[in-house]
Amino acid sequence: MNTNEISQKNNSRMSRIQKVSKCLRLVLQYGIPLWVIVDLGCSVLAADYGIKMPFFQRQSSAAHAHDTSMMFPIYGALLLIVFLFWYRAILKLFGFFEKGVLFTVETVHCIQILGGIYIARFFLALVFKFLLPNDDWVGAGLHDNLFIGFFMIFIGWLLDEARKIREEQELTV
Amino acid sequence: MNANEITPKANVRLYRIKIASRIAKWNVFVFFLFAVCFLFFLIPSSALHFKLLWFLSFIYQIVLCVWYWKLAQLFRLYERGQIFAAETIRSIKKLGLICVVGAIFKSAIHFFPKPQFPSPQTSLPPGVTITTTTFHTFQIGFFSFDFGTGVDFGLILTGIGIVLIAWIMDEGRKIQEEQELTV
Repeated sequence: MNTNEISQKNNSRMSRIQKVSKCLRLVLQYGIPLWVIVDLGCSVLAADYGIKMPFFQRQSSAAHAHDTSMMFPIYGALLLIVFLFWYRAILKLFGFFEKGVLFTVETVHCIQILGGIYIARFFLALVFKFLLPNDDWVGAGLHDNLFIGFFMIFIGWLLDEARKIREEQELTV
Repeated sequence: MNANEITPKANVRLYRIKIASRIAKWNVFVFFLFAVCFLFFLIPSSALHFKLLWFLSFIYQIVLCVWYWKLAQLFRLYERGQIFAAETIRSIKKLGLICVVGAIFKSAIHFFPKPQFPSPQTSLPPGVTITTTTFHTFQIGFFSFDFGTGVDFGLILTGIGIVLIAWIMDEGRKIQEEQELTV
């Protein structure tokens, strides 16, 4: 196998990664806002107009016993902020993969930010679980977020360490 | 900087990875033990309807145990210093696939019709009341991806995401290997 064959193979691998990453980025970038709009539309049709849709079970948010205080909107707003950070970080990560930047400082940083966002979501849910003890929505999947958050931070740290080892080995004369 | 100066630094990093992986492995092993213990608390009921629900829950719990076991295996590989090895990447792919399988069983439990409790025909003696408690779990719209169906597709998407990340890691590893072969 000569150098040209190897570089051609590498290029095809890299272009495959870039294509898949681009697809994923586009799906996330446009799919999530579309999903929010469709979900909202279905909720309005089901709750206000009584239109029954197959597989759609969320009839009305009023049906769930929410706390009447201002706490629930505050929780929702804070969760939305956390979600927007997550959305930005995941798009950035797939954007890096799309550019062919695979395991560098930037991607590792993105993975660690994603882990941090999951931990932030855990703490947010934990705090509001105490403030709104009767609301079922608050605190759903509480432990999952902590587990995923720590796992992502650990994997990010591991990739960073492996990258540093490789860099140091490349410096070896 | 010469080779002698760099090697100890790399060794320190590798040692740190090994220590952290060992701690993570034992933590996951504790989770695995909890999941196995929970299996014994899933007591089957005599009614057929509950038996089927129990069966699905039991299978899901087994899948969860396998997932924890595979995660502990992954950390064992990291402990050995095999960070980007083919075996490690295969292990990550398996974790993703198990995640998808678990999500399918979880969804099956959700779609299974819930048993209806019959209302008492005879009048109850004075002072005796029946209290029915129904547990609902809701996921807030963001991060849950339930698409209004009540089923959390987040787990399926997470599984697919893990498989894709493993595939990207695998391709990156192959590119690196081929570059190292270049004369």
